[in-house]
Amino acid sequence: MKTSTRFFSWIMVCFIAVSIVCLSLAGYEARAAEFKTIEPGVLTVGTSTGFPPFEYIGDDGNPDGFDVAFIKEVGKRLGLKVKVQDMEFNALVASVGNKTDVAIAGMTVTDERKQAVDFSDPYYDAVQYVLVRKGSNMRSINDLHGATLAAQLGTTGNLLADDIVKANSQTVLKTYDRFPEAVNDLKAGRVDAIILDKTPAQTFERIYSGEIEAVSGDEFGFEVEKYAVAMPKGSNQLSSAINKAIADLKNDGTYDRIINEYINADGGERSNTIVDQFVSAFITSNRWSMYLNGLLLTMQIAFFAALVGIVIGTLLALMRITKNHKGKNTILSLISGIYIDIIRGTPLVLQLLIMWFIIMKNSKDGVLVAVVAFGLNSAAYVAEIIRAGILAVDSGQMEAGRSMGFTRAQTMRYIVLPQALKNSLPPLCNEFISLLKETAIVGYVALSDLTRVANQISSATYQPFVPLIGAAVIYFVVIKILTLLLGVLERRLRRSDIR
Amino acid sequence: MISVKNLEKYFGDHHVLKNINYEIKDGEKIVIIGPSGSGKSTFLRCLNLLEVPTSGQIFFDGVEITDPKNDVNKIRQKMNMVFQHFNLYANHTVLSNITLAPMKLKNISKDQAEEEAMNLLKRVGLQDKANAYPSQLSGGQKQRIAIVRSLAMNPEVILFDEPTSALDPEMVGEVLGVMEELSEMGLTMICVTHEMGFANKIADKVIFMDDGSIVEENRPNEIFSNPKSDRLKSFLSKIL
Repeated sequence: MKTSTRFFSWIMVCFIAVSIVCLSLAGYEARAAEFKTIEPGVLTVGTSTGFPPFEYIGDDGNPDGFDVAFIKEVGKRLGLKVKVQDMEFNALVASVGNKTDVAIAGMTVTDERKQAVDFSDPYYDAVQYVLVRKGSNMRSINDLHGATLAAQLGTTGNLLADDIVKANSQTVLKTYDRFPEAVNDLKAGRVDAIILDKTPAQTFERIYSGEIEAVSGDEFGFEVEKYAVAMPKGSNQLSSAINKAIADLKNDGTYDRIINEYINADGGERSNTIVDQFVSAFITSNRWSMYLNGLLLTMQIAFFAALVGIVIGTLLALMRITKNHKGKNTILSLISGIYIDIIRGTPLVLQLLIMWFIIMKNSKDGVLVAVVAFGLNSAAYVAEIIRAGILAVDSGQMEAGRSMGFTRAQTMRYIVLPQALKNSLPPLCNEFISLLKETAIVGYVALSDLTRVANQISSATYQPFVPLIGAAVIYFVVIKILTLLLGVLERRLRRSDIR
Repeated sequence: MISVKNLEKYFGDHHVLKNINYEIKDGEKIVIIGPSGSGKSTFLRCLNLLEVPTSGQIFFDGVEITDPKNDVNKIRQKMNMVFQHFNLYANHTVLSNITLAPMKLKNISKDQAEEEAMNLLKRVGLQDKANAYPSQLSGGQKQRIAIVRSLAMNPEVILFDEPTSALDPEMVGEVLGVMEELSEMGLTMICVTHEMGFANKIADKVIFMDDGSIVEENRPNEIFSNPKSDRLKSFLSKIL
């Protein structure tokens, strides 16, 4: 008991420290601007790292790249401080206008996207490239028909690949959240070609020279595309201000400077030996601190979600077993049953996205949304665990309490529930451990938890092996320690059973 | 003190109690005997509404407890029950088993409740078990604690539901001994049991039930030495 209390207080101290840092950052005040932004004086920008050199996680652990440098310059011209939020690419468009003011992520102007957002003037012309294995003779659109294609979900490459699939039903399309995984599968022969933008294609070709090559989309008949900044529909003031800033940047040479810095420079490190890979995944630019912060975030979300889950789950379990004086189920029991059915019958990742984009769409605090979503999800499972724990308590205990003059609620509180919770402890521990691992999807709501950090670092180093295995090892060690501590707690609680 | 009128009880289609009418006077010791399945435990459990009667009325000190408007919890404080399987609160120590109800339901201070509990424990010779958990006790010890737990509420009536049936034979005596002592205190006791010697010794009245009805009711020496109905005769011939 003592050890685990100390452990939890340690976690609490860390969380409080993290929250204080967050709060002080949020307190920053920029000078006032004439447009309404989500946070006054701040331009909140959505991007999706993993698309070098336009956006990736820089050496300091923050998003960097052409787009990031570019939008920061735009922000300067608008008199706004720029805050960058990293999220999954396919969540970007939906988050414009509620979670972010604008999105910049090498996003091509398409008619479909125009229905959801307005675009600035284009700031970059791109042509889609095709990455193939070295020695492959794919050079025309016909070669792509019937092949296995890869693209990043929601990108222009995805749209082009969709057209090819429509034209030839033998064609298989695999979509990825990030390019490094797609490139890995290309090398492994799981896909035949990746459709992506020119600059990242050339970056990957340089890093994996001798294994893959980049072919211009001209040869496949792809059209030139224009990258632009996405913003909420009807934001005319913001739009004209951004367009003016883009024109100014192009005129005063700032644009060329950023192009030279990011796009024409040699990017990407490649490490060959496993030791080099380890060094670049953990030690270079203090990347270990990113894993540590990711782990703390993971534990913070899991811990508070577990608290929410246990409190609401217990209430749901008590509601579920209520009976009226005729022994029939009550309306409370029905409500609880429906809640549990809905939560158990839908995927957790969808519940998280629904919470983020629909139910709590005005909340900017991703951690809060994640805690609520995971807590409400866990509550359904906790409710069933505790209900089973209550049913496992001998019915004589309830009868003894009632015949003494206790009400049903009093008997529950003093006699049955304490025994039920003790019965439920081992499955509750399992539930907590599952919860800790299930938080690995919070990247969808722009949070950098342990899994997301591993992904970000594999994007930056172009080599997924060490970051992914490393994150798995960290999860394993933390969960092993937790299992041991919870085992101690459980043995303490079993004391009254010793004969 | 307790009066039962036209009591009927069904479990589904099964007709368990058939038109029971009975009056119990203050301080009476009633023993209910009968074959398994005759409805004697159900009858006892109806008296404190652990089983809800299908129809009929039960009055306790003039209050109709079968009327949902009356608070059955208040009545149960005066009419405790001792169970076949003891049902001590598994998550509480012996002392806490005894003091929980007086403290929570009668607002008696912890010190006073514990003092009274220790006095009662001394009377049954279990004061050294005060801090033990129920799982550490023998069956006979558990049942003596269960009786003490009831006594701590100062009830007017204690219902005993086969209190010795789950005990090893050598422990039956210690529990019956405590119950005999109780019978001299002026409490009303209603006891379902198979211990005919005990019934003969302490009962004011013995009720013989069979097939959901009260077949015969009389003073114990009449029931045991002069049974009238054939069913009672056949029952006694099997067990004596």
